[in-house]
Amino acid sequence: MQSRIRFWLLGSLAAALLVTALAVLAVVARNAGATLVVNALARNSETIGTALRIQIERALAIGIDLDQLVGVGDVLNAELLRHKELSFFALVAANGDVISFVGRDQVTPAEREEMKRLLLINNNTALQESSFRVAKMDVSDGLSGVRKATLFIGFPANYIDKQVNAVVMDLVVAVLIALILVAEFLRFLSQRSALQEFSRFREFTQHLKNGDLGHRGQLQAMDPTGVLSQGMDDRLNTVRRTHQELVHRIEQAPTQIKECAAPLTLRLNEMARQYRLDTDPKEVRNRSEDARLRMVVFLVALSEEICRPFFAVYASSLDGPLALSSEVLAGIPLTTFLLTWALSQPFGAALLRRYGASKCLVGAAGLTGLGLLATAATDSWVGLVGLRALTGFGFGCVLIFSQAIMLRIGRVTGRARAMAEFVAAVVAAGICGPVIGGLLAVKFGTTFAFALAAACALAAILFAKGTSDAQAVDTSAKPFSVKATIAAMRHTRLLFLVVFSAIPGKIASTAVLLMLVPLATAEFGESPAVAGRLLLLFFLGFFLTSGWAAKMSDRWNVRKPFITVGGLVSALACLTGYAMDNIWGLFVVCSLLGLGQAWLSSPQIVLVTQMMEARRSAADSELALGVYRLIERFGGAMGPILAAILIRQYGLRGAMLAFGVILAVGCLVTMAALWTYQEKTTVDLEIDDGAQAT
Amino acid sequence: MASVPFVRRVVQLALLPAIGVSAVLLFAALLVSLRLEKAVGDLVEDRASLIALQLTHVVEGGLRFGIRITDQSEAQRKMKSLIDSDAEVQTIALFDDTGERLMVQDRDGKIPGLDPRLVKRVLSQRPSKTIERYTRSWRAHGEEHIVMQARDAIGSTGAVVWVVYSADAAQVAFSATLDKLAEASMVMLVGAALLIFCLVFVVWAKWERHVEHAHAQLGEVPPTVPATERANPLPDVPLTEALAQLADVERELKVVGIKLTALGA
Repeated sequence: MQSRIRFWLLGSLAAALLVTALAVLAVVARNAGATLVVNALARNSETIGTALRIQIERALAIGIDLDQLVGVGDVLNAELLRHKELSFFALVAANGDVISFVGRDQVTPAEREEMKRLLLINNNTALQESSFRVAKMDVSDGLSGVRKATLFIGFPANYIDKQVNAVVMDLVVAVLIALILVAEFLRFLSQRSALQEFSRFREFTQHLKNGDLGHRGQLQAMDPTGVLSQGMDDRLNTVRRTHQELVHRIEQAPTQIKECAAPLTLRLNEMARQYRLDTDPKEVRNRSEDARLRMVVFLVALSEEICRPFFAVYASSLDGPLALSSEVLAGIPLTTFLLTWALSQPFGAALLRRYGASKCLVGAAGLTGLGLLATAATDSWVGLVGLRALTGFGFGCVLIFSQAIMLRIGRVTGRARAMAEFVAAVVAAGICGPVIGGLLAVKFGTTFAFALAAACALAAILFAKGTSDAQAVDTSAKPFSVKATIAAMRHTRLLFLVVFSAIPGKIASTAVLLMLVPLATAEFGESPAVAGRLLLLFFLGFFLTSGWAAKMSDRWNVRKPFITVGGLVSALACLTGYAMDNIWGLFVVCSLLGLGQAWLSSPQIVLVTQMMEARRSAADSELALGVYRLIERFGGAMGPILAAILIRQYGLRGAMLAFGVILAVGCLVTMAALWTYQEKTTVDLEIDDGAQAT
Repeated sequence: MASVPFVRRVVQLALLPAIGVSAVLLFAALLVSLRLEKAVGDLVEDRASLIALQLTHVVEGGLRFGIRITDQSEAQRKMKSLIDSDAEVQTIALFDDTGERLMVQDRDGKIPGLDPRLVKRVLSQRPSKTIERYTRSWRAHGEEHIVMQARDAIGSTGAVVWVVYSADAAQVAFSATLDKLAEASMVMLVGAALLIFCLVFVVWAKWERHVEHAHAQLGEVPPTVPATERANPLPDVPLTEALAQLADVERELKVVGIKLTALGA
């Protein structure tokens, strides 16, 4: 316990040091950027002032007196609305009369009076000490150059601080993204470096701690850890031999002694089951295949997420048919991508069987990468649509291949955890990609951004090349029957699970994230950046909890409770959003929805495949997975459409309530349908965390 | 004293977290610099839009009186005045409603071309959707481009204004900020790497002592559990509990063996 406390203290100290480092970066950024931003702001004020001055001088030149100018306030107000960085305008005549003063709502009446007084006495020192910076421009009569008035343009002195505050928020997001990006690569590297053997030793001791004596460390290194591991392997083999000898002694004993030794026989049999002494010892599993697959998924998903922020604008800027509006020009390539992605799902199983894991992943990643590379080079809209179709197919194939391989590996190690690895990689890409893509597109252009995305997808080939599902259960011996699979999917409970849990969850997620949250944020007067941060909460909640939920689901070998709890939490998220009609309500919606979906996501997929296998027919669970994903994708596409209809009918709050009710009803119906379903009738071949031994 | 293999192992173990910290700091520095560049870039875009708007107002004024663009001397004068009054304006051009370029003012004589398809796209946008004129803006090669509609008397698109404005200020903001942040990050990184190395050194040394002690006691029959759990610096590796489990099983088997012997088996 003490060492655990020390460990947590150390972790807290590391976090505090990181926060300090980031605070230092924020301060350095502020100091470096302050002058540049203020200079840019002053230049803008000058340009705006010049434009206004010219307008006023033109009016004075044709003989209209200053105090007879009508609409000066409206013109100044219009400029104030257009330029949000400014605080006020003031036009003061040469004799000191204030012709017009317009300021933002944030400028209080007391501050207005103070500024008017300072402007009249024209005291530079006093002006600099106020909470505003002021640019001045002389307004002449437009003819002889005689000064008739002075135009004052004010902006807040703490403008740079406001910008830095926004930068600090972005810094937090930037660090989060950097941590997730780095964690993905480190996770892979740790399985390929000195940490790999240590990680295997850790897993070995955890097996042993849980009473699973059926694993061996088999570490090769001759350092103290390796030597200890070899010593422990020897002792475990000795234990196994001792057990076998004792059993043999009883078998060889005369009948009378056997009868007396019956309780000992029972205990020995119990020990064999409890401590796995009756199975051949296995080496602790090398997780490098999981890490490799996860890296493939992450890189390919990242390649698409990089393109997401600027793709719509890019597509609408290409030379498409003039009859199509910008929105349609943007929408068609996007829809094509989603459509081919969805249609690729059912083909995964058949292609995997025919060509094997490595070839399939290499081919699909290559198709995605080449599609993106060609996209970087094309300037034809029609070409873009074609390339999106190709890329969508490749992308969809990578995802379905990876899921199927993960499930195969997961039969040995825990399927929910394997699926959670896949989902976490996709979500991590979803968190990192858009920010990186958006900034790179602005800085280096869309061609560069597309090329980088292509490089990510092509880099995935290096990891996909050696993919092997050799550690997985060989499913190629099973017959492959589409008819049997579709027939098996018509099973009542499976249909209920898909129709009342999977589809509503997908519909609600896409509707809330793509429509309700952005629109509600705008309605509350917040910027799109705030909406982006709220959406990030969903993905963060998902990313941080899905692995733990999957681990528990595998440990206890149950899926229904997780699906139920996840569904109820998701429903609660929407209902809370309805009840709390403010920005904090959206905060709760995004966080809870992410948690709820994280809880049910992997267990739901596993339950679908387990239900297929329990049918013991010629149905193929991987094909079923592909069909399930296809149905899910169409469900997801319906989300925004349904949201638009509900918003039109009932408003934003009403739509949020409607989705909460849909999720709640769906969850309750699913619970009822699965109430009598016995999950443990089909179990994974082995769960590697020793749950069954305890 | 630490042996070479031990130090090598410590370096290998410290390398990954050090790489992680450096990646986090440098990535954060890059993103913050890009964010500040965007803040300055947005102000530059604002200024460029203002230039375009000034010319647009002049052109629209003439179109409202039915004066064709080629007959508008004020437009030509305004373009010259704008380019003379602001050193960062690089190019100003005016296109008619057929997409033909009618007037252009350029600072250094190298008049760039604008994609005629883009001009046609801007001309084809219906102006009635919003009170704001349809505008396209983008940054390329350190220059901000603004393409803006100008409307005629009946509200349809009568002309297109194109302004190219120097965005050096944004690039300077990026470079200046990144330089400072990279320096700060490198300094912090060196400190962090040293700290990580020292930490890993201490923890790994404790770990190896704990492992050697456990190995020595493993030689006993049955193995004795290491004295206290406190000796394990890595609580996530339950070595003590694992050895305890092994000891329990061996003890139980020994008891069974003794009982069997007593029974005569």
